[in-house]
Amino acid sequence: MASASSNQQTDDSNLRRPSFQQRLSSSQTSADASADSMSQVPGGSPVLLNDPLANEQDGAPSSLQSTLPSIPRQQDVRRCWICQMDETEDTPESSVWRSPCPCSLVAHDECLLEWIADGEAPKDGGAASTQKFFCPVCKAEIHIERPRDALVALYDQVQGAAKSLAYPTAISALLGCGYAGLFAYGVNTLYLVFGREEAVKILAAMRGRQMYDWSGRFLGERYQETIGALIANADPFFPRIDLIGWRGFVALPMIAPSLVLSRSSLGRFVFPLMISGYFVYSPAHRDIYHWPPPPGLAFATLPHILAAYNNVYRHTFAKLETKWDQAVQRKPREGETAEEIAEQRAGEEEDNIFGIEIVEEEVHHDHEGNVIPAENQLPQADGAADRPQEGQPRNNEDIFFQRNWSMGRIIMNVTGALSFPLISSVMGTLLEVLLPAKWVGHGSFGTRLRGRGILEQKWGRTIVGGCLFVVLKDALTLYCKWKKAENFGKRKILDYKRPRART
Amino acid sequence: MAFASKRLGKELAKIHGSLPPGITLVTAEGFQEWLLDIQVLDANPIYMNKTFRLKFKFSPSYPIEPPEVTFLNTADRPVPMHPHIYSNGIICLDLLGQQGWSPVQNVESICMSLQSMLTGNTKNERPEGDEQFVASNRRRPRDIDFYYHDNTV
Repeated sequence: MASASSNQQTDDSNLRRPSFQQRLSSSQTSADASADSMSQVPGGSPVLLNDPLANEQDGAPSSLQSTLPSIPRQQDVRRCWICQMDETEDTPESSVWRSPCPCSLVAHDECLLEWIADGEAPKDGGAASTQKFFCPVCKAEIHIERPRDALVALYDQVQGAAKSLAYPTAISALLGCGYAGLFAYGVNTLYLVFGREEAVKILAAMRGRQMYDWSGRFLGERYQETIGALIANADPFFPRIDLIGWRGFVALPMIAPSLVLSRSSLGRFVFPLMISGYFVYSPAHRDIYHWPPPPGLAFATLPHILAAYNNVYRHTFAKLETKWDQAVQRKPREGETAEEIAEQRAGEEEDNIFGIEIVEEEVHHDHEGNVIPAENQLPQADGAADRPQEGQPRNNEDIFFQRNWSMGRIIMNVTGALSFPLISSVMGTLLEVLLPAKWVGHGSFGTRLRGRGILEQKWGRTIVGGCLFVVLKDALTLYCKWKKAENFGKRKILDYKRPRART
Repeated sequence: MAFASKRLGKELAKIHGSLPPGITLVTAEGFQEWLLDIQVLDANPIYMNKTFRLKFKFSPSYPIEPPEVTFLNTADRPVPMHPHIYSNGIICLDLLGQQGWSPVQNVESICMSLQSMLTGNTKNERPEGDEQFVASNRRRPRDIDFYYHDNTV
């Protein structure tokens, strides 16, 4: 009973708000109750049921009555929960009464149908949907009998299926776009590195009509084509497998990620596997003593060459480099060493692309047992005593997580890694132009017959060009660091030259 | 129209007959727009001795569709402070949206729900992003997809 419950609220300020359902049913009950009281003609005088004026005049007594706890008598007169008309107001045109759920709600068939039609209203130009409806009070399902039509039922099923497939399809399309982009990058890189002629041969070999196509052997060409067609039809953004074969389908899009990976610390763990993988899957090329090596072996060895080069570089130049780096920073103040200044910036300059580094702050204890964060620790001995408020005892919270990379840095690294094939290719072409014709295979027949040197092929020149680029770049960097370190002490600030005052 | 006006006529008759305490009808001319005043009856300090004016706008498909219910802001009728009521009077309440609405609701039950929504409130504040919402909103309340994030208030 609504009126009764709101009376309670006035009495008890702590009363919690009645739950939704309670309120619904109670307001319904009160509606019935007050309607009953109205139809019972309060005040004794006959009142026309449909006359709002009459009801208004009798407002006072009926409101009095409805505040009293009255027994709901909805069984006596049925009242439609949608149009709020009751049985006594039914006209010959009024539709039949329905009682579709276990609770006391009853309604006109027509009203229910209008309510359902609104819920099923066609959206976005489609046909009306078929939905389930539930009683708003008791939540029981309202069963609707509809003429069954096989075609309509099928249409509804298909519509429902299409609706539920929309998100997966969109995600798949996104994946397909990403994949196709990586795939295109792979093919383009192949052309860049090997040159057109060789690239076409490699792609043809990948298509799986050559001797060591494991997928062709296991699945058979026909299955491969069927699967290719299936994938292409399921998601038109994916390239067809049968165009390129399983090997190409898997390997070509991997080129871009592995180039990026090779720049990260993760690559150091992954790439040693490549060389062993090469020998497992290419038994025909086990002859490693042959020169020039087959391209596959050459590329599988590259990460190791790179690692070796990095080690040698670090061993040889690391000390010099830090010396030069320290030479161009501010002069250490009293009690400070050059290493400490470098350390302060080290956190940001770690060569860590994808890792999230845990930085543990160094904790120093002074003689009172207080903990002083490292950056606050001053060299003078009496510093701690002068700062009693600083350095409150802190425990393990000193360990904090620091995201040690920025977006700009990641983009730099990724684009750098991805443009490396292009740079190598350009360097290779430069080599071809600059080196003597005999070296790069434009010489007489005699040189060709002697077996091809690594520089005589496009991919070989690309590799050598890429390596050369790395070495040149490092050399240039070192030179600049050295030069800047050397010139550091020679800098001076220029005085402002005042225009001569006119006398 | 006949459908909505028949039902509204019925509701009006009942409202003229009796209304729960704290709810009073101001005007109900025609079946398009009604004004009602509500008061919070307990000693909630946020709303004590204040009266708020509600505007109901009915579409011809009422009660199949929910009415548009907003608080009016006039000299002596402020918009109540509530974390689900924007300062332009727009109310974020599930039963006023397409999803939460059902024809069992009526003008009286909406008023009572709002009354109890205010009664139970202890926060003297506006919704998050109120200023921005009030400045940028050009939609009708029922077209706004409120995110009913918090059902405890």
